[in-house]
Amino acid sequence: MRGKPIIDTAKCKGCELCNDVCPVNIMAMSDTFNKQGVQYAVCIDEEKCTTCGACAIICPDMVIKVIKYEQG
Amino acid sequence: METKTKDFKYVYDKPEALVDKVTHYCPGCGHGIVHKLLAEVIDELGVREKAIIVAPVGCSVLIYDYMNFDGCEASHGRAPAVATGLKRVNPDSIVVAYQGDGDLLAIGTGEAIHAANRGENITTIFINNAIYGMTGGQMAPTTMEKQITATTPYGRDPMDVGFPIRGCELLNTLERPVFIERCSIYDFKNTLKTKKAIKKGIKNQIEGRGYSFIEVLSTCPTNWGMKPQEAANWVKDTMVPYYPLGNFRDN
Repeated sequence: MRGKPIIDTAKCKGCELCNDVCPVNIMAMSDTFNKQGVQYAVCIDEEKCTTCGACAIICPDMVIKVIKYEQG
Repeated sequence: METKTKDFKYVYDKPEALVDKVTHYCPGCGHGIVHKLLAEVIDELGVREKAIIVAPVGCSVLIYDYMNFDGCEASHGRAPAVATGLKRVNPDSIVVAYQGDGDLLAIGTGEAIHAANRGENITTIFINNAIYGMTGGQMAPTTMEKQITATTPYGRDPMDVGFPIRGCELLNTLERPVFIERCSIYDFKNTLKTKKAIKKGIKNQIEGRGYSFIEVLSTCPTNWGMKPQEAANWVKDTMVPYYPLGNFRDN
């Protein structure tokens, strides 16, 4: 596990841009709704995350941060 | 799991120049992405204390609420004029005029062209989303041919209202601008290019070289009546052939 996206689900507006931009297709929308009444982005397989940061850069609402674990 | 106790670093973190709040923009709006890129660039160049954003009239009218540095509101189309004044009075400040297509190419065409012609040492970020977003999706000067909007229900007819205006090509006929580039945010790669262009534009200003103009082809999913990803594809398929991406001038 190299790292993972940290998603601030309360701020997500559910635009789904992160789902399409992810090169390993691990972003999806939730089954439940947040306080804004939309299905928010979730990471369905953190093991596969390459920490490329594409989801974070494309997100218009600053919902996603990406962390990378230090080696060793 | 052992990995969870490991130390980590942020590959991507919220820029300091951006305020941590939910914006009023619709889901998938391009403004959010460009705001973030601008904030990242301001942070990377370390000019947050000196930066002033000039807000236009349009959807991004409240940009000073989202940016963690100084801001000033301009009347519709007058952002380059206000930016000129701010820059001439405070030559050390970094002034960014953030404008939409209705603002820059409709009511503010005169101001935009003359600020560029004078070679004011400011940076203009021009968001081209081919529609008037804030007022509910009327035809803008940059609306594409045959595009359906609230005021062109049968599609834009160039024989009636003219062809879309290409802002970069227009300013490229002037002598004084030092940097003119058109970029887009429809995908990840182009978003990074946009950031590079904004960075170059603000660097030019720090070095006192003159007027920089960055046009960003953006999306308006709500008024185009599309899902955000469809809107991004529409930019790629419809807008990019008419508004070619690339650098027009880099002196």
